[in-house]
Amino acid sequence: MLFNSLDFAIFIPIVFALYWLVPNKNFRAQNLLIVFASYVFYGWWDWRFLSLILFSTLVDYLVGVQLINQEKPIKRKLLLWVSILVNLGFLGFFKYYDFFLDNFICAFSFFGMEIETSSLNIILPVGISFYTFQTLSYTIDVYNRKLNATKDFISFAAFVGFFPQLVAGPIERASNLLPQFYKKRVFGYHKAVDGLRQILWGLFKKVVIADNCAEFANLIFNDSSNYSGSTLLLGAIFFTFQIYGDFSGYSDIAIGTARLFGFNLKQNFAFPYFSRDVAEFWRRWHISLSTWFRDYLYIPLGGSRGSTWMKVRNTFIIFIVSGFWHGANWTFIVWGALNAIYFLPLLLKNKNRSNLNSVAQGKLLPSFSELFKIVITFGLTVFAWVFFRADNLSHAISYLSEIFSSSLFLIPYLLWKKEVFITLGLIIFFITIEWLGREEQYAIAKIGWRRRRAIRHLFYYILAIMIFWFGGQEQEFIYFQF
Amino acid sequence: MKKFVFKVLSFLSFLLILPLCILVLDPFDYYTHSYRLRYDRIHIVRQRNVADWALSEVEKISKDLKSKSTTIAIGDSRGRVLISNGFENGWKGRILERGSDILYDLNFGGAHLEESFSLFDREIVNCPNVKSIIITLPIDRLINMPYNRNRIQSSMFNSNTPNLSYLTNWSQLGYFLTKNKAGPSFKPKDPKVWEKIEKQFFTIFEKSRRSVFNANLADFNSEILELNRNDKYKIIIFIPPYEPIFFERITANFGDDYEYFLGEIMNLPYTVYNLQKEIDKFDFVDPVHGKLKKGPLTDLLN
Repeated sequence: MLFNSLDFAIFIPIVFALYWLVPNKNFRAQNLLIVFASYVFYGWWDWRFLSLILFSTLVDYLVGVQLINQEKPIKRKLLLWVSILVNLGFLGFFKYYDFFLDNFICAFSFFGMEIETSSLNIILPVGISFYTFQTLSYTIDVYNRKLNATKDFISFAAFVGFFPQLVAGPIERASNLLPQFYKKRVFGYHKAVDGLRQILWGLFKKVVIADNCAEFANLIFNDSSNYSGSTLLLGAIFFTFQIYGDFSGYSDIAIGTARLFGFNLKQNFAFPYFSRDVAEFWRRWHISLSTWFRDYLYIPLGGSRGSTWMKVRNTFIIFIVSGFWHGANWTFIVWGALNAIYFLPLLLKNKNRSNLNSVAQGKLLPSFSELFKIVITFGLTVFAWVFFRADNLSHAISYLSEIFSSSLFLIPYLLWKKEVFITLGLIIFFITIEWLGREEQYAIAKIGWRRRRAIRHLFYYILAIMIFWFGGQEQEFIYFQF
Repeated sequence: MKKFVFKVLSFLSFLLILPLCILVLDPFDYYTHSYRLRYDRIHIVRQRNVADWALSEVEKISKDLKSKSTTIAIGDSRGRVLISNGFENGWKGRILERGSDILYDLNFGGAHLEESFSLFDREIVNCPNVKSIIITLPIDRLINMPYNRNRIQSSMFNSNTPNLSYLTNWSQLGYFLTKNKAGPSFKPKDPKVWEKIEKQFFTIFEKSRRSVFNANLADFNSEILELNRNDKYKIIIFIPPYEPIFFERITANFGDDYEYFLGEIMNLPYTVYNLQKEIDKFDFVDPVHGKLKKGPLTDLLN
């Protein structure tokens, strides 16, 4: 079920009403309802893959319960590996089997050996990368004694399958989300209004910004050999806003929806395109995934401690694995490696934590130096996104080669189109609102308490009308494929 | 809780007034999907445009395309003589060569090949039972293409984003076209407005990716090869007939070019039917194009 669909518009009020009408706000009954609703939400896409979630939930629940009383390190480690192998096994099979098989065949044919085999054309279950990482974090935290395992299966199933963030995150840590299922939720008017406001902003990002940018990004990327460098650059910029609007929009809707049900999810995007360096970008982009890799991969590997070689190795590992997490394609691996290359100089010069605060804090405009850094970081990001979006490596390279040719100085072919002007206007509007709200959890959070009611409502109506106008085509969220 | 629900409903009720009005009234039939299937070609062409009609045809036949062995005719509306009732020479039977095949005619007014290929790419390309493609190729279109627009792309965009369509020039044009149903004599009082509308008719469409194969058979051929990547379809080129008066005009203006391109087309590695050659001896009357009433709008649409 898509957040930007009529199905969801009908589903959410029904679940909301049932949830808050549960007698005496019995939280166990509410949890049960969440599990049921989450499985309906997921099964709407393909009910067969519910069995995967159920199995993964059951395995991690049982591993957790066993870990409670198990003191022997070897047995504890064995239990941990059961969970890791089951979860990563599913992920590896559904997501990476064909990739490895194809590359295996390629490698053998390179040495003149032909292997007769066929790929399985496996369907990738929606959201498998997200809920797998979420359940893994639970088992690892329990193993490391950072979290007490739960014996309440319904709460655990609700934690794994919580529908607002089930299919595209944020990847919640058990230490943050699971305890919220143990206690009674109280309906809070302001919290619910805040949730709706964030949903509205998320829908705007998705339907108005991402889907409009997608129209032109797809047009240009799908036929890139016929366009000039300037048009291709325009296409890359459109994709840059498409992916941000799409994914951060989804996160906003997820967080807002969770708030309607009395839950607090963590911020997943913190205005990454206003970053002054790549390290800051990665602290602001897909925060739940970055911190997951930091805590469960980077730090166990040694993090930024040790020799220079260790730092370089760990940085490359974390970025390449992060790239590979996004998809079984060399383009994602190169995208990850490219970001590692961006990040390394900052790490080696100990400048990777020099921009921890929000840009131009307390000021209306950035300084010239800040603006310059933002533009440079944005340019590097756009460059890397080309690899992320391209069909394959040769497509990405030919795309970038054309951008860096003399045709970069031609007038972009599509610029005459009125729809392109409208989309560029929307992007400027979007950037302005994001800039003004960059110190909040989401861009329009402060309009809720700083502005007069009439202005607030007018603004909401403008957003809602724009969503209506531009909402003709239901497009899937990009991150569903990951 | 009650306060929250009340406020949400109040907000939504006010918000829904405008979209509800548009949905209920739907002045340009953007939402009424069945509209396209309910009305005939002339109706759609008058109210919207020929590319919309072609898209609606694809919708109509999409079920058959998946289940029956079919032949698709794409290209300029001159190719519509293949299926016209008033035309008895049995060309359809001759060209199809296979009596069991069903011919679907997706030729539409002024369609150049890129438009036709866009239409084909939309859905037909995935249908396993399409056996052959008849490409209607009026030679004068190769020599003298009047515009460089892709109306199919525009129609796809409009059909995918009906809400947005209300903000585009389409609405204005649609209004005048709808008004035109009252009679071909309808015109705005101010001639400048009319000029603007006429101009818009050509500018509202997506720009074609290239110069629509103008005088370039190599481009045309490579596009066919792309269309028929796996040698899946039998390709038939159909040179449509013109009424003598039009044909004389073409030969007078482009005589040498006409002969040159005719020779080149006949040498293409496809089955080519030159119907123009055969109708010279009959005092040919185009059974399709003669039916539309003449007037400023029908001239534009035709």
